[in-house]
Amino acid sequence: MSESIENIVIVGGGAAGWLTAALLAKQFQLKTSAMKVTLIESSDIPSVGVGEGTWPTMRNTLRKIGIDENTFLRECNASFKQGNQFVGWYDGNNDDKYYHPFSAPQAHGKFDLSPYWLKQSTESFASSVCFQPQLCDRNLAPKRITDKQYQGQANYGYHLDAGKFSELLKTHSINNLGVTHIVDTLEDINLDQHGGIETLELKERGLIQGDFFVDCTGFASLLLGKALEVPFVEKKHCLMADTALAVQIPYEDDDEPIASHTKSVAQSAGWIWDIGLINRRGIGYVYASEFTTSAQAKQTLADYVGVNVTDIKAREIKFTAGHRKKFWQKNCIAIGLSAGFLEPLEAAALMLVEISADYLAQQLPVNKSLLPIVAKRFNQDMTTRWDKIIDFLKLHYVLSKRDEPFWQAMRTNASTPEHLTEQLALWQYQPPHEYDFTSAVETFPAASYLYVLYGMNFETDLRERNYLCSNEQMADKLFKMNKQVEAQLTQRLPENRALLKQLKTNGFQAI
Amino acid sequence: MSTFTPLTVALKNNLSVNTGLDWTGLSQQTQATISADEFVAASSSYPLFFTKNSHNGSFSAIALLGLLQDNIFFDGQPSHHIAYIPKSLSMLPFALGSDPENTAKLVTCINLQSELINAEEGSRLLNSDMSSTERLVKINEDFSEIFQNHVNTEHFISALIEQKLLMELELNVASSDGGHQIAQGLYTINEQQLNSLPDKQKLMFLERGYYPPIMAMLASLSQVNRMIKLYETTKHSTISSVNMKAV
Repeated sequence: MSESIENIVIVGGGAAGWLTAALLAKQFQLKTSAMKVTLIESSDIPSVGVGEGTWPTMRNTLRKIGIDENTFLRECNASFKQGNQFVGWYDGNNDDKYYHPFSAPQAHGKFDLSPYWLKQSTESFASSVCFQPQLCDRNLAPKRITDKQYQGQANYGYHLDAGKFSELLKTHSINNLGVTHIVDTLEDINLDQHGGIETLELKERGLIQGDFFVDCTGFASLLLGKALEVPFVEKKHCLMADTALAVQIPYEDDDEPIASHTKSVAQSAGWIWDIGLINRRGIGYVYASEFTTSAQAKQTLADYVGVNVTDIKAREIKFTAGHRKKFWQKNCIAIGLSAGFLEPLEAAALMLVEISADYLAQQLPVNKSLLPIVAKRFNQDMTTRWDKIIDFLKLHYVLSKRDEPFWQAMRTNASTPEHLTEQLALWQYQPPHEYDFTSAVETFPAASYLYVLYGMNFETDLRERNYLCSNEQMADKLFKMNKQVEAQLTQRLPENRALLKQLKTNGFQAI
Repeated sequence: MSTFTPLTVALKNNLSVNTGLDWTGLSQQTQATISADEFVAASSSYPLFFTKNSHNGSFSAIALLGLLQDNIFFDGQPSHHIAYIPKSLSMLPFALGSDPENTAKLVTCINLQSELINAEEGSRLLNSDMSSTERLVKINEDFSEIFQNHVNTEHFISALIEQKLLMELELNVASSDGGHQIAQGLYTINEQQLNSLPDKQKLMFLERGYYPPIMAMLASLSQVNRMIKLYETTKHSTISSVNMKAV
């Protein structure tokens, strides 16, 4: 008879661990079911906690686990994020900037405006087809105080303090969702006769048993990587950044605008992220150590912040781009940095945690005999996802004309995935289409590719495809409609800071 | 035209305000804030809803005065179309508003454009020794009572929200010339949800006296039919239908 899966043990208490715990607890209704979810975290291992940007998917995740949006925003010092702005990525000139907004182009999926924009563009692609760049330029919020929780007038995710986010998830998971919390240090992992994990040996408590284990131990990947010996697949030849220098900078005054987008500013050997929370900015330089020294990188960061290099107290985080060959092995799944990490561009880290944890919550089989089937599917899906993310991140680099050695190295054919090279060959003569993205687990849709390709001045020759522009009337109508929506929303929406300030005393209603 | 401004000592000293209802002021409103204790009486004349306050996002209760962002009940003259005037309207040209110096504080305001203001003949707000006249004392007492009723209404609304009893409605107003307008942001009580409340909650609602205002609000929706007729008789514009649907 097959052994049932009732006791799930999560190791590691960062955002990945607690988000997984909360999603599992919510799905399994712990308080009224036989299922048990235990999270073990060590008090002496700090979480990496740099990932401060989320995708819009986080709204649904938070709603699903039952967190009030007002509480989340207040307790995580969070702010709204409406997309990414790339500065200096194409050629580094003064006017070199473009947006990848979260809202899709007008009529996206029903009517493709990109051929019409290519034919006669007067302004940037993103601004022509989407109202959100204007909202970002003006530091406006994506919603008003009268909008419901998790509902916006423009699509949005968040910028958040990852440490505070973990704390909120922890409190909620323990107090409201019935997750068992153990503070102890993992000393050893014992395998069963089939090569799965049988027990964990903790420093204080001794042996802990479990039916299924979730590895959220960060880069260390103690369960999946070390104990189960699933190899790491390096992607450094493709994504060369390997170091991040992170700092926290206070606002100059309480009225300084809070940007509602992540700024990604290209530098000689990488790029700087600039994220505005309610109480501070989180800034970091992610670079390839092969192309700059630690001292030079620190100087670059200091120059960006506008302070002397001696005044910068940056935290250095080393990483190697890549992921585990498998993400689910036997009775163990890796979620978060233990599964892999590429680089912070486009903030995919937390999104992958959400997707993996939700998959697990929905698909964890009832007994161990079914584990191999689900594991196989999960591994196939996630491998595809990672490949797609690598393609999309790489896209930002291969289109650049910057001439520093790092940027030249990042756009060589040898470093570019074959699938991306093929896509780019096609897109020289046709804009990205939904048919280019046919996998059921696409991570970045055609819209994202459109924003980056045409933001980076990619040329698509449509001379042989005039028929793609056969309904100019409809295109004009949609371009005008975009301007109308833009005019209405820029009038109607409050500034990001003003709305966040108001949330201290008022809040979004649940309905 | 309404220009509400805090009633400062200087204004109190300079202004004389005629007594009686400010019919012109009433006709300039498209909705009136009401409190739960008024629901039963107000439901005899107006459809009642909850809306979100645009300043802080919290819910308040209103009597809807027009279906086309206008006012069908008041035209500047004494009205025969209503049996009850909401307290907030009866106080005009005075109203409660935020203090510009401290937005968290409420102060008595006055509509300086009101026809009731008359520097020569109206009744004074301050006596010659700068003390408040009986009129001003009464106004302040009334506002104090209105404020307390609004606080009680906030508790009432919070209880409804807690029990997930509020639901959003959309009013699609079609006119016979083919045009239509959609009124959004109106909330009412979800009757189905109300009926399925656990007995403990029902008893709590009974003890707190919440059922009369709840029933009054539900019944008040029939006033929309009366408004449709009023458009035909008073404005000679024909509304062919009003479709109310849950959002």
